[in-house]
Amino acid sequence: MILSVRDLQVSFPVGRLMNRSAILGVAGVSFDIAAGETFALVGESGSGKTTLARAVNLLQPISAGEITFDGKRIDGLRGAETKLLRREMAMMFQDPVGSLSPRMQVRDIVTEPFRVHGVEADLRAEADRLLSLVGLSGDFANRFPHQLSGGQARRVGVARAIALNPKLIIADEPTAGLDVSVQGEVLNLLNDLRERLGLAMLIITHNLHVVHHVADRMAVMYLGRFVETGETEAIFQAPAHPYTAALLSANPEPDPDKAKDRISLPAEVPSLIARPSGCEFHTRCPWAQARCRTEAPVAQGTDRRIACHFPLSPGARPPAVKETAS
Amino acid sequence: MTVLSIQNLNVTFSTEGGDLHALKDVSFEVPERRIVGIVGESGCGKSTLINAILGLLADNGRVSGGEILFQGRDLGRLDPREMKALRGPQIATVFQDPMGALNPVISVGRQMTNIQYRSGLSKAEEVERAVAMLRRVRIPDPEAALARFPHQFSGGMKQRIAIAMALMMEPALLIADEPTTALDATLEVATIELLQELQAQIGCSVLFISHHLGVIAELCEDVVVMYAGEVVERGTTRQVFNSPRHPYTERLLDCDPARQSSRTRHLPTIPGEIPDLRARSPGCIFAPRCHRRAPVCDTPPPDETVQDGHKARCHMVSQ
Repeated sequence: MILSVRDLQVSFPVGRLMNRSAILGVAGVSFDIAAGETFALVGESGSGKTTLARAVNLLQPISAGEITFDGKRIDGLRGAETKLLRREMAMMFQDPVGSLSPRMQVRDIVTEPFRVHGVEADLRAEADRLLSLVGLSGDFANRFPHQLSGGQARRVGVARAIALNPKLIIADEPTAGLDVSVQGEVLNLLNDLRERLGLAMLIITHNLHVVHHVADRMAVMYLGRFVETGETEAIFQAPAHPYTAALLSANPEPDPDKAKDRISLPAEVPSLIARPSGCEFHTRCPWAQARCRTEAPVAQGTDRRIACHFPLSPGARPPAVKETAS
Repeated sequence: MTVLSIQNLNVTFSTEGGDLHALKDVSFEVPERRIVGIVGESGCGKSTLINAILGLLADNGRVSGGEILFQGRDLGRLDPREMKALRGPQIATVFQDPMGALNPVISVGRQMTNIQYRSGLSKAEEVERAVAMLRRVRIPDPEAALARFPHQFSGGMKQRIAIAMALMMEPALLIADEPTTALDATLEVATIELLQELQAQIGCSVLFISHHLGVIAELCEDVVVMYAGEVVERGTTRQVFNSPRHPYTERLLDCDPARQSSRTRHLPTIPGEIPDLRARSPGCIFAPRCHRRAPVCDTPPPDETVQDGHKARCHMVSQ
């Protein structure tokens, strides 16, 4: 395993002096990523995906749990040690153009990791090598970020992430804000590089179609916990947690005649300050029963883990089927 | 009746590098009580089109040809004051970012009553109407919501408030510019269903702009496909999505990962880039990237009729 995370928690303080408390942004998650594997984190805004990714990269202090990277515990690392770690674990941030410094040329952007980490190299040659790896011609080296399209900026971001031959890349919404035709390009590029360089990848996204095509395994997050984990293909074939099923059915497809048997979720997402009792999804779950309101489910299984008292059988429909007009 | 009819619209921007022909011979119609989708990628001219309709083109931009007819009136001939009177009560808009549409330091209630300044209603009636509208967009406890500020609502709720404000004056046309792009999948679906419901209740027409093909397929009855400032194909959503005739539409639909039902490691793409609009070639604008390019494509392509209401700007339709 290149990365093992056990019972990770991240808490944020809230409230003023007298009524201080804390909310759990990530409330105890465990997962493994093998070398060369792509693992996707899926969930709605506020479910803790980005917080989890930042915690793994030590950009966010954790309050409990263990993180093991390449056989070594990393959760206690400080200062210079974290810097060493980030040579091996690169991060691609959201917003392709915004994550590039507007005043630096592409050449300097992609070779910045060498300077930051004090790695001796022929920077000019490295810039050319990295740009050609991501399919950009050498002319791009002298451009500034505002002279790039979204897809090109994303490629530069990828080039910078792979500069120091990391073992793991964490990509936060790598296709958000890109056009569909460009999305494919970026995902193909990530897949190619993964195969050529043997990279492992942690991809964070809310686009389920993307997950389907790139991830080997996936986890579905809700209020900071994993509700379902397993092989991507298996989860797409037969989602077992009601939330996963709802997410998959809420995915508009470009086919006007597609039958829309959608699982609609009532109510808004509960607040992290006042987490629901029992199973935290029961407030929105069409299948919820008395037990769900009082008793928190424990994730069962090894390869496929489902945190639900009553996992769905394939093709299950909600008790009161609400059909939407097509 | 046709609420909005755009005929051979051309928009040009003067730039340092010469005139940029942002929209070229754009024609389509938004019939009464119909939801029309516009789909296209970045740089296809969607925003320019909206700004042209609203009379909000940047100072260096101008309508260089054609007409924008709103309920039979040519918007290009209206003076700024007449245009201002139309925006809001007659043509309302919802944008991508609800936080940008709502004033962060004024309570939702005040914003919702302020925009009724032209209605001639009493204060109490204005408040009543705001509450009724919030209830229609399913904001819980609407009376209490009036006193709250935008940041106290979630992203989905903010967008619903923005929709409530846009529809409060019961406009004839709602222009929705990527209203669900910033929302999560489950909220996106809920917002689309809400828009559909409100549109039926109010009886307005909707011009819905999105790059999300799935959302367009779900919501819209007609669709207009734009590429590099031109309408390359239009028709009913079924016609265009089930039997696309312009190569760009074909490729665009192929690219959507949602269309690949079986898992693939290599997703289709459209090689090449959008051309420089400062130097448009006389021929087909998509020709340099087209997989069906023929010598005839170097001459201007006609708007060929495929079927009743289904048109494609491509030489290959008739071949």
